[in-house]
Formats: sequence, C-alpha cells, structure tokens
Amino acid sequence: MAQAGQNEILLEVKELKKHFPIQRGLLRRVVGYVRAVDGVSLYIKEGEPLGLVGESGCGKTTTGRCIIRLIEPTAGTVHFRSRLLSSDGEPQMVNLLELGSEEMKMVRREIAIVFQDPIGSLNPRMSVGDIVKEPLTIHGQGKGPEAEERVVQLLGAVGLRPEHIRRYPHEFSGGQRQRIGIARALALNPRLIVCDEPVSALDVSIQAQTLNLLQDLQEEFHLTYLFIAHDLSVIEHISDRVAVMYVGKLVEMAETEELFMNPSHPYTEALISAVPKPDPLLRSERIVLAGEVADPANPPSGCYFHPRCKYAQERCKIEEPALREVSPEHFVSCHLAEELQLRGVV
Amino acid sequence: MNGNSLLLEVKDLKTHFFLREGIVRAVDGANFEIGRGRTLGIIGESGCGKSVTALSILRIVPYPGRVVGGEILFHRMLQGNGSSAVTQVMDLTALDPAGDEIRSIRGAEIAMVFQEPMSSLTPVYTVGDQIMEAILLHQKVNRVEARERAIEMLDRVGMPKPSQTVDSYPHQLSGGMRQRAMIAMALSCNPSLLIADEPTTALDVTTEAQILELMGDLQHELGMAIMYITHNLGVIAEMAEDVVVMYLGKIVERADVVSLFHDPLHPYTQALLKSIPKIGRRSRQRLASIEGMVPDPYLLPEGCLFHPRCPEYMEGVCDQQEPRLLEVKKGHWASCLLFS
Amino acid sequence: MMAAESSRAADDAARSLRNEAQRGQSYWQLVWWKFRRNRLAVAGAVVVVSFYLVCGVFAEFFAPYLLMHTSEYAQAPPQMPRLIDVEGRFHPRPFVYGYEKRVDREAFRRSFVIDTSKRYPLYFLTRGEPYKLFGLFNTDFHLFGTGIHNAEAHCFILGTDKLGRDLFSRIIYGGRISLLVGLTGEILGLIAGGILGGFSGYLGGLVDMIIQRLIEFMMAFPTIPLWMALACAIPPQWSPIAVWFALTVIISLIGCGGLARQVRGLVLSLREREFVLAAISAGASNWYVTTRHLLPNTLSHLIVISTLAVPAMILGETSLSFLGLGLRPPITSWGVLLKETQNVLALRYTPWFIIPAVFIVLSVLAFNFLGDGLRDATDPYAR
Repeated sequence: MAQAGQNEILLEVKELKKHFPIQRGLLRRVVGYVRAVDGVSLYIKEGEPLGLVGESGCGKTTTGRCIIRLIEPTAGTVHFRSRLLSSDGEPQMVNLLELGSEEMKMVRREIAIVFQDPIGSLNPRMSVGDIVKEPLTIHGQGKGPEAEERVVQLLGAVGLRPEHIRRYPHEFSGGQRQRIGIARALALNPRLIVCDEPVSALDVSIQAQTLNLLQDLQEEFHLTYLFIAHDLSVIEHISDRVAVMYVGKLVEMAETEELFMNPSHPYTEALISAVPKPDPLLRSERIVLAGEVADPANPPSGCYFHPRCKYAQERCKIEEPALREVSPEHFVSCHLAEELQLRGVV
Repeated sequence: MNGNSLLLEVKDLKTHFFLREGIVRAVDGANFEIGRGRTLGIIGESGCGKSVTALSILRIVPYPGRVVGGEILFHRMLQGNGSSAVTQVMDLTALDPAGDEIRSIRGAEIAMVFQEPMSSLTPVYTVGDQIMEAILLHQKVNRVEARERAIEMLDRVGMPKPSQTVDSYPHQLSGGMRQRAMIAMALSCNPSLLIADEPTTALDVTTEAQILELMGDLQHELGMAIMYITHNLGVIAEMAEDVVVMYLGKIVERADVVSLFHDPLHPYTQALLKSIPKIGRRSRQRLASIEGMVPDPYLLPEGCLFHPRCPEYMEGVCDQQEPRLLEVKKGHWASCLLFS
Repeated sequence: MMAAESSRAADDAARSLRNEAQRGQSYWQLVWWKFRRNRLAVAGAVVVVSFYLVCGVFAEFFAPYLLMHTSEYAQAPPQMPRLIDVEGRFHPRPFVYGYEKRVDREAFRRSFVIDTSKRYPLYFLTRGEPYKLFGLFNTDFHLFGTGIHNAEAHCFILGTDKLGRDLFSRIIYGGRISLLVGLTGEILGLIAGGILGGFSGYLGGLVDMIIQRLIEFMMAFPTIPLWMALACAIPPQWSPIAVWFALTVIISLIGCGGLARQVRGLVLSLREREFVLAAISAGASNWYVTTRHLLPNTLSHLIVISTLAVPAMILGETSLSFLGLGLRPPITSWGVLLKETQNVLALRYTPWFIIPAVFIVLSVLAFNFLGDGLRDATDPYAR
C-alpha cells in the first residue's frame, strides 16, 4: 500500500487493533471486547499533514495513542522512519511496537503529542519553564544555561514571552495553555507531532490563532502532523490528506480536496453534508442519518455502517468490505465504491 | 413587528454578578426582540453573556448574580389566536424569581434545553418520570394521562421505541437520545418560546444534524419561537432567521441572518466570520484571526469594549466614547463608532 | 452547563485579579497565600500549634506542678486568678485565694472552700519543682506559680482531683498523651496507607485486586473487641504507655484502609491525566512519573486527609479511656481525666472535673478548621 510519492513515508500503520476486554463477575471473566480500533491502516508522508476525523467513539484518539505507544495495541504494526535509531545514519523504518524500552525512549524524541485539554495537559504544580523543559529533563539535558536558552527559544516560537517561564499554568488562558503544550512538544525537535483535538476546547477566535500557529510551526521546523479532530472544516483547513474513521475502522482515506469533492464512502458523504455551513444562502438538503452510532462492543455484521446506510445492499450485511484503492491514493472500504455517485461539498 | 406577532422584548437588560473581587457585568444593556414563531440566534464566544441572558429571561441566574436593570416583556397569549387573540404583557424582571407567577411560565410557556444533557437530566429518575414531572406541574391531568403524553412526546421527538425508553435512565441512553429526551421535556407543555443553550455543542456532527432537523420540524409543527444560543456560526446560519451578536455583555450587531452573514457591519462580526475555516473553500493561507484575547471582566477597556482588538480602531474616538446600538440600515443594528 | 459560562467568566476575572498580586508564585506559596486569608483556618492552626507546644514540648514549663505532685487539698475547687480582691482593691500582681477546710458531719464529707483571708500572689517565670526539659536539661522554671518563698502557697487554678493533684497541670500532661500519641499513630497509618494505596493504584491488575481485598478484610474488623483482645495479648510487663503505643500502632495500621483507598483513587485518576501522558510520551520512566508527578499531586490531599483524621484519633482515645478500655491511671490523658466524671456525685460536688472536655472540644475544632482551610487552600483551580 505504501506509495513512493514525492515525499517519503514517515509513518506507516498496518492493521492496527486495540480491543479492550469487558470483564464481568467476581472472577473478572472476559465476556467480550470493545473494538476501539479494529484494523486501521494508514500512512503519512513527510511534510504532508494527515487529518484523522470521525465522531466520538470512532477510535481516532485511541489510534493516535496507540501509534505513540501510550496505549499498547493488541495487534498490528507501526513503522516509523527514525533517524536516531539507524545504525548507518540513514533514516530507516522501525516497528515501534517491537522496540525495547531503551530504544523506545530514543525514538520518543522524534515523536511528540499535543493534547486537547489545556487544563489537564499541564501539571498545575510545575512552572511553565519546568513544563516546557520537561522533555529535556527526561533525557538528561535539563540542566545548565543551554536548557534555559532553549526554553526561551521555544516559548518565543509559540508567541509567549521569556518572563512567562516563572509563571504557573493557572495564570494563563486556555489558548495560552495550549501554546505551552505546543512548546513542550517541540522541545526535542520532533519530526512527527500527533495533535489530539488540539483546538476543540478553544473558543472560535482562539482556534484560528492556534491553527495559524500550528501551520507556521510546521513550515519553520519541518514538522509533520497527525491531526486528530472531529471538526471537518478544521481538518480540511490544515490537512493535506484526510482519513475518516467509523467505529474503529478506516472507511476512507484520500487527499483533502479529492475527499471533499468526491467522497466515495456513504459515511463520508453524510459527514460532509451534516456540517452546518456558515452561509444562510447555502442551506441545502442535508443527509440526515438514521439510527445511532454503532456500538464498538457489539458491532453489526458485515459492514459496520450498513444499518444507517441508505445505499446498503444484501452483500453489505454479510461481508465486511476491505480497504482498497479506487483511484490513485484514494482508499475506500465500501463494496459499492465504484458504483455510487456521492455528493461532496457543494 | 406588529403587536400580535411580538413574543418577547428584551430592553436594556443588565445582569451583574457581585463577587468578592468586584462586579462582573455579564449582561450590560441587551436589546432585542423575538417574534412569535421565529428563530433568533445569539452568537458569541465564552464570556460574552449569552447564556446569562437566557437565564435572566427565566429568572434562574445563579447566585451571586442578579438582574439589576432593564425589562423583559413577555407577550403571553391568553386565549384565541390570530388577530382576535388576547395577550397580556408581563415584565419578567418585575416578578419574584421564586414566586408562583414565574414558575407558572417556566416549563409551560418558556422552556429551556441545555447543553450537557447528562448533567441536566437527573440520573436517579427515569426519563419518563422527568417528562411527567413537567406535565404534572403545569397541566391538570393524572399520572396515567401524563405518562401517555410523555410517550407521545418521545415519539414526536423521534426517540426509538418510546414506550420502552420512557422507563430508561439517562445513563442508558446515548447523547443524541438524551438530548431528544430533554427536548421532549421542554416541549411537553407546548411552550411559546424554546430557549436552546448550545444544545448540540456536545454532540457529534451527524447527531447534531438530526437534532437540528428535529427542532426545525417541531417549530414548524407547533408554531413556537426558538432562541438559539451558540458559538457555532454554521449552526446559526442553518437555523436562525434573526441574529444577535454579543461581546462582553453587550450586543454589537443585530440583523436578519442573511444580512449578518453577507453584510456584516461590526468589525467583530466581520473578524469572526473571517476566522472560521469554511468547508469547501480550502486555502492553505492563514485564517484571519482576531488579535489579542478577550479582556478580563475586571479590567474592561475604556470606551468601546472591542477597541483593543479592532482592526478599524480609530484613535481618540474608540478609546473614549462608548458606542450605542443604532439602526444603520433597515432592520440592521450595529454598535460601532464607525456609524455614529 | 449553562451556569458554566457565567462562572467561567467570573473565574477568569478572579484569576486575573489574583494574578496581579501573585505573579510567578509556586504552588505552595499560593497555598499559603490562600490559607492566610481564611481567618478560621489560621485560628485553628494557631490553636493546634500552641496546644502541641504547650502540652507536647513544654508541658512541665507551662504546668505549675509536676505530674506526681499530690497535696492534702483533695477535690478542691478552682482558685481563680484575680486582680481585684474582695474589698475592691486592685493589685498589679495577680493572686489567688487559699482554701479553708470544711467538714460536713452529716454526710461525712470533707471539702474545701475558698478562703479569702489567705492571699497567695502569683509569680511568672518562677522557680518550682525541678524537671528535665526535653528529658535533657535540668531546670526548675515554670511559667507561673506561687514561688518558693511561701511553702504553704498553692495555685490550683482549675481545682484538684481526689488525690489533691492540680487539674490544670494534669490537663496539660494529659494533652501530651492525647495529642502526641494520636499524631504518631496517624503518621504511621499515613505512611502505610500511602504506600499500599500508591502501589495499588499505579500497578493495577492483580496487585490492586489483592491489596483491595486485604484492605476490605481489615476494615471489616470490629475495633472495640479487637482492641480488648489485643490489650490482653500484650505482655503484662510492658509499661502502660508502651501498651498504649502498641495498640495505637496496630489500630491505625488496620484502619489505614480508608486512607489507602483514597490514595488509590487519587493515583488512578492522576495516572490518566494528560500531563502524565505527556511525560510518558516524552520518554519518562515509571519512577520519574511517580516522583515528579504523582506524589506531589497527592501530597496536598494526604496532608488534608491526615489533618482531618487526627481529631478522630483524639476522640477515639478519649472514648476508649473513658470506657476504661484504653489508658488507665497512673497514665494521664484527657480520656482518663474524664473518666473521673463518670458518676453523679462527681458532677454534683466537683463539677470542674468536666473542664478537660473543653480542651478536647477546642482541639478537635481547631484541627477541623485547620483541615478545612488546608483543603480549600490546596485546590489549585478553586476560586
């Protein structure tokens, strides 16, 4: 599935699965599994941010956390093109899930994460300087004037001032706290940053500032983002490619413009149509899905989306569709992908 | 709007919070009207006072806040309809917040739907019990009839298997279903005004589409007015007929929805519209963000509250005078010194 | 919800106002600042600290008489220190009136009443009976007393018990036992509970399950029968205070389950906090996360929990000794002192025996105010 495009592949995930056991009874017997992530395969090219979008419960946050091994996946592989772990200086693909703790610690310098909650992501007992310096401290570089310099530099990069080093998180607003989190993520010069809903908890005007900041930083520091969000317009703005998830599965993945103009999966079509557009003259007939989001502990047979899909056929109830490439770099998991003429953004 | 078609008039409403550290003027002079059967959208970011406005109308502003000035004129329909209707105009600010009069209005004539259905529905009673509570409080029916009406309401709001879900507890339902239950509760007594405070913000976008469609259908069916409060400009564009934009407790612009989106007059509205990413119009350019941050309510700027962040700032003018809400074009009001 | 927006705006406002006053203050500095503003809590702290200083450390200094001092004035009423005598004259130096013995031939009772003909002036920083300060230094200074000149003089400002011992002094010595021993037990329980709860919460899985079942087992023990059984099981040659100490340690270890569960809950919730995840994603080890993130964030809770648990220990000791199950004479504690009020005759003829209860109430209240104040002050996001 990996394509050698213009840029090299930085991250490649294959058949990633995370099943949480459901335990009942005195002896904690396992009675079932919550299939939070159920066979996700995707790739990210260097310099091309990938947006991962889906509604609550689709598994996008779990996917992000599995990729950086904050949660241990149940199955699958996560290959990352690491510079630090290569023996000959040339970057090489390593499977993050097979690394020992020492090697993992090395690789963690190249991947960072920014969280959603500006309050919870900063330790209220630590000063801003200590928080931003923490990655350096963990890797033994936290002492001395160079570390201080670096902290000032990082704060400046996100638009905060040097005197903020001695302040504490509670003295800042939500948008500023998010910047502190971003500065911390940049501390070790990562190449890939997983952004887990970084603007969802912010006000509209602050969202714009933060998105601009992320775009600027991407150019300045040659970063690549895995941008997880539920807001389609934000995803469209910041991503070069988009992957759509539904109940633990990847249903479509394509370049942004292609996905929004020519969606090939009914769920994508419904998602795009459901987004309220900020123009009263564009009130169009929206596709309103019937029913509720499927339960990841007890998903429907065949294609998980079939109970809500208006195009569903017999085959969809029996057979689970595989993710396949219907046009260059456009992947869909739907039996009817070639036949359906779906409506994109009008 | 002529006499009978006016439902609610808010005139110079002021609601202040009296804290140890000082006074927070959460709503500081709000003026708007809601017509019978129409949808008014109130847009603003956090801290602008939109939720407090809603609470002030129902007189449920939490301590240490209270309504300190202005009028809220509610045109209550007593009997009949159309041009022969008899209405009574009541000033809600004059009522005792714990008194019988306002309580007879709450739930029956003006109902409210909140953002977080999990915390607005009590977890220890079934959904049916909670809907029946509203019915029994305002209508002279017995429990059996109330239960039937509750099931009927649940069916009307599109709840799957209403005769079963009426006996479910909130935690057994999904977010979308809980919100439907809340709407059923709010509509159970046929209110003339539904206040919806960010009802879909906590929901997924496909569920939101369902709920918005539901609210539109019900409004059509019942002829009720909706006051829709949100920070999501897309939802306002979809739902509202008239729009009010609030900033730091004041109304900065008021217009019908098309004029607001296509001809915004106030710099804050213009900046807000430019700062949201719009689907289908992708550019890799930066979003036009609003400079600076919302000032803290104790250190409010002099003159126009928005002037420190305003791209059209006029030195010597905007930092000295306070703008007033003026009708700049017909039906389109803005509070900006550019127009005075 | 809907009130969230308005209270959030107010929160922002309050936060920024405080900002002006406290730029760059660390967490503990903020705690101190918030604590200081709470007058009741500060009062509680002052009372607690003074009680520990007076009764715990400097007991012999503050008490005019030593523990073993008996006199012939049994069950004598309090000699109130006065500045103005019965004739209305003002004396710059406080004094007390002496006793006169009365014999009631019908009831066969001997009693003492205040005799205004005997006046004993009080002296401060006076010499009295010798003792060892901190167990090390020989000295004989007391805060106040009747001096060494008049061997007849005595100042039993809260009266005496049936052996003629000064009640005020006994209250102070009793406080030493009640306050200190309770505290020690609590500290041990804190450490045990903290460790158990910490492991349970952080490691999870089988370890967690075993520890939790163990705690439940321990908490199901009925305390009083256990206490009595243990009291019998301890070797008789141990001094009463050692017995008491051993019992306290055992009881607090068994009772540390509650604390362990609280710590476990704290650790469980902290473990999932995003700043912990951020540290892990940067490569932090379990040890780093525990010491740098989990422990500091639980410390404030633990301090509050234990501060509020000390009154329970004090009251526990008081109750048990009152029932005769705890300490017994010759050990003096507040509970032992109160035991002497257990009959109606005592209340009728010697009502001042109740006074130790006042001190118990004061110390429990003070601890509660202190604990509440600490709890409010240690929440970083509270208004």
